[in-house]
Amino acid sequence: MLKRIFSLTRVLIKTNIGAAIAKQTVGKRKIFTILLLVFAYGYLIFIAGAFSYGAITTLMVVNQHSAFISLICLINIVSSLFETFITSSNVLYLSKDNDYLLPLPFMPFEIVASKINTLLTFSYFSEVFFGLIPLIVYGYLTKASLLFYIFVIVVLIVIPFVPVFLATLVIMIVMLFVNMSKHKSLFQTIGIIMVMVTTMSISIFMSNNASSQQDLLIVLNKVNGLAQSLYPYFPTLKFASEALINTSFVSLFLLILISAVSYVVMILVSNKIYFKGVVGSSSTGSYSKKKVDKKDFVKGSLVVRYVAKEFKCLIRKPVYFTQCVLPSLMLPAIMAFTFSQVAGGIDKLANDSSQITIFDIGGQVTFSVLVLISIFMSMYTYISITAVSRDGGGALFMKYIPIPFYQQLIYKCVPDILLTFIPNCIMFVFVSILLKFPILPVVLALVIFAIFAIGRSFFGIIIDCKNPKHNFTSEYQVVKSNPSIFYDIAYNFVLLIPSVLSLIFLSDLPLMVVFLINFLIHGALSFGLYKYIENKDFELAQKIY
Amino acid sequence: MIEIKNVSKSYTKGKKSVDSLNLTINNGEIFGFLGPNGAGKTTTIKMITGILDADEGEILIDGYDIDKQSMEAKRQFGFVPDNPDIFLSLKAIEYLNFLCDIYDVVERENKIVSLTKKFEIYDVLNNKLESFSHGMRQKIVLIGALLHNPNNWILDEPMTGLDPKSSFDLKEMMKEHADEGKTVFFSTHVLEVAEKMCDRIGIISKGKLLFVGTVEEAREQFAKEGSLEKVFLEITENA
Repeated sequence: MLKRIFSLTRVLIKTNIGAAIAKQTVGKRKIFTILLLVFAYGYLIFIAGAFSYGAITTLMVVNQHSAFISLICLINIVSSLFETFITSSNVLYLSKDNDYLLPLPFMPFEIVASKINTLLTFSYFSEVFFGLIPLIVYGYLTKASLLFYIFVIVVLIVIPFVPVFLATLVIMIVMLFVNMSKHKSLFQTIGIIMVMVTTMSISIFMSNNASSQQDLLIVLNKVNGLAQSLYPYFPTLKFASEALINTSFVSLFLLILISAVSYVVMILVSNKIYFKGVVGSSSTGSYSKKKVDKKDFVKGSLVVRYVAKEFKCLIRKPVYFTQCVLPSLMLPAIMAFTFSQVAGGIDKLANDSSQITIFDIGGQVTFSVLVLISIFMSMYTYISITAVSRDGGGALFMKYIPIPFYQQLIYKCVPDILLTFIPNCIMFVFVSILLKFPILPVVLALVIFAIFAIGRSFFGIIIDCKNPKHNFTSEYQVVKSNPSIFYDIAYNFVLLIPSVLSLIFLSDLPLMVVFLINFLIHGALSFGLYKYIENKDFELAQKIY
Repeated sequence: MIEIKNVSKSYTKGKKSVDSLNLTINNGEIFGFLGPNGAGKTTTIKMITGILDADEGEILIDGYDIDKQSMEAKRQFGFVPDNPDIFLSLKAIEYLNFLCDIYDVVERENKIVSLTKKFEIYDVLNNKLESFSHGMRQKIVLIGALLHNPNNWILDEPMTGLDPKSSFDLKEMMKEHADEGKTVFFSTHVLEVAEKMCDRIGIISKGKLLFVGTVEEAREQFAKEGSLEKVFLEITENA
C-alpha cells in the first residue's frame, strides 16, 4: 500500500514539476536551462540569506535574535497555508489527471494521500527559501551546534502538515457546495486574487514599516508578538519555535506528534469528502439559453479579432488571468502606493523630488531612473513567454490556417505589449504629476519603455516557440513549472544594464543624448527581434506539431 | 485534388515515420486512409496540412505547393484535427466568427446557422467550448472547417465522439461534397465506415503505403472471401 502511494506521489510530482526540464532533450539547451534555474534560484537564495543576515544581526544587537525563529516558523506556516490555497484546487480538482486516476484500481485514500503528499512537496520547495536558508544563516551567526541543524531539518519536514491540512480542508468543504462545472473559473479567480492581495498587503506592510534598522526591529518585534498570540491557534508554531530556540526534545516530540496525527486525520477526512467534490469537477454543466442574434455574425477585422481572441483566452482562464495578467495590473498600483509611502508621505517625497529635479537640471537622472524602474516592473508579466504554450494542443491551429506564422506571433504579442506598457504608463504619469517631475524626461522614458516592452514581448514569444510546453496536466503548470520564464527575467536583467550605465556614466550628458543612446540600444534590439521573427518563422514553427 | 509526391518524414535519424509516400486523391473522390496506431496516418495528414514539413518530396493541394505557396494551399482545404480541444475559453459563436474572418466567409450568418442547426448545436452557440462534451467540440471544429466551403476536406478521425445522427449527417455531407466534384480525405479506424463510404482506400503501416485502391481490389488482391477487417489485418500484419 505504502509502495503504491509512494509510486503515485512520485508520478504526480513528476507531472506537476519535473516534466519542465526533463522534456528538454537537447543537450546544450538543457544545460543552459539548468544554469538559468541555478542562477534564478541562487538569486532567491541570496535574497533570503541577505534578508536573514540583516534581520538576525539587528536582533542580536538587542539580544532578541530568538524572535527570528518564531518569525521564520510563522512565515513558513503562512506560506504553506497560502500556497496550498492556491495550488490545492488545481492539484485536487482541476488537474487533468483526475480523469485518468479515478478509473484506475487505486484505493480512494491512496489517491488522496498521494495528492496531499504532492501539496506537501510544493511547500517543501518554498521552505528552502523561507525556512532552510534563513535558519542556516541563523545557525551560522549564533554558532549553533549540529543538533540545531538536525532539529531544523525535522521541523521543516513536519511544519507544513497542519497548514496544508487546514487549507486543503477548507478547499474540500467549499468544493462540496460549489457547483464546480459552473463556477470553477470564478472560484479559482476569487481564491487566487484573495491570496495575492493578502500577500501583497503583507509586503506593503513590511516595506512601509522597515525603512531603517530601528523600524525593522519594531516590525520584527510586532511579528514576533503576532506569532506568540497565534500560539493557541497554531500549537505547531509554538512547539516548532520552542524546539528550535531551546533545542527542546519535548517540543520536537510534541510537534511531530501533532503533525503525525493531523496527517492521519487529514487522510481520513479527505477520504470521506474529497471524492464527493472531485466527481463533478470534470463533468460539463448546463448550458446558457441565451440565443445568438444578428450582431453576433458581424464581420470583423482579422487583426482585431485575433488579438481579441488572445485577450479572451488570457482573461477567461483564471490561472492565466491571475498569473499572467494580474501582476502587470497590480504591481504598478502597489509600486505607486509604496513609492509614496516608503519615503514618509507624498508631500515629503514631492519636496524631495523637487530638490532632485533642481539638482537633475537636464532630467537625465529622472529619465534613467524611470526607465530602470519600468524595466524592473515588467519582470512579472508572463504573457508572451507563455503565448504559444497556453494554447496547448490548439497551437497546431496556427499552422494550418492561411495566416503567415510570423504575423500570428506578432498578434499574440499585442496583449503582452499593452498590458506591460499601459499600467506602467498610468503609474508613471500618476507618480510624475504627484511628484512634479518635468514632462520631457517622463515622456522620453515612456518612449524607451514602449520600445523595450515590444522587444521583450518578441523575445518572450521566440523563447516560447523554441521551447513550447503544450502537454500539461493543469494550466497552472504553464506558468508555474515553465523554465522559459527565467529567460524572460534574464532578458529584463540584461536590459537593466544600459539604464544602470546611463545613470552612472552618462548623467553629465544632455538628456537627448542619453535618450538617443537608449533609443538606439532598445530600438536596435527590438527591431532585430522583429526581423528574427519575420525571417525565421519557419524555424520558430518547427517545435509546434 | 491532393497530390503527394515521394514524401518522407523522420522524427529521429534513421527511422522514417513516413517513407516515400506517393498518393493522388482525385476530385470527386472520397478517400479513406487506414492503418494501425503509429502507422504514419496523422504524420501524413499533418504534412498535407502544413503542420509538419516533409523532409523530402512535395505536396500539392489543388496545384498549390503546401511548402512554397502555403497561404494559397491552406485556403484550399478545411481541416478537422484528431483533437477538437481548441481555444476552449472562446464561445462557440466566437470561434466560428473568428474562422469566418480568417477565411473571408461571405454570408456567414446563413452558413453558421444552417450548419449548426444541422448538427443540432445552434441553441448552445453562446456557450464556451470548455463546457462542451468531446462530441460537441468535434461538431464545432467540423463546422469551422466547412464554413469557407473548401474544395478539399481533410479529416483526421472525424467520426470520433459524434452521436449516430451527426455521424450519419457527416457521411451524407461527405458524399454530397464528393458528388459536387470535390475531394474528401479522411483517416479512420472504423473499417465499416471506410468500406461503405470510400471510393478508394489507402492502407499505411510503418510509414509505408502498402495498398491503394478500391475495397473490391483489396479483397481480390488479399483475402478473397473476407471482410475489410480481414483484408486490413492481412495487409498490415504481413508488412
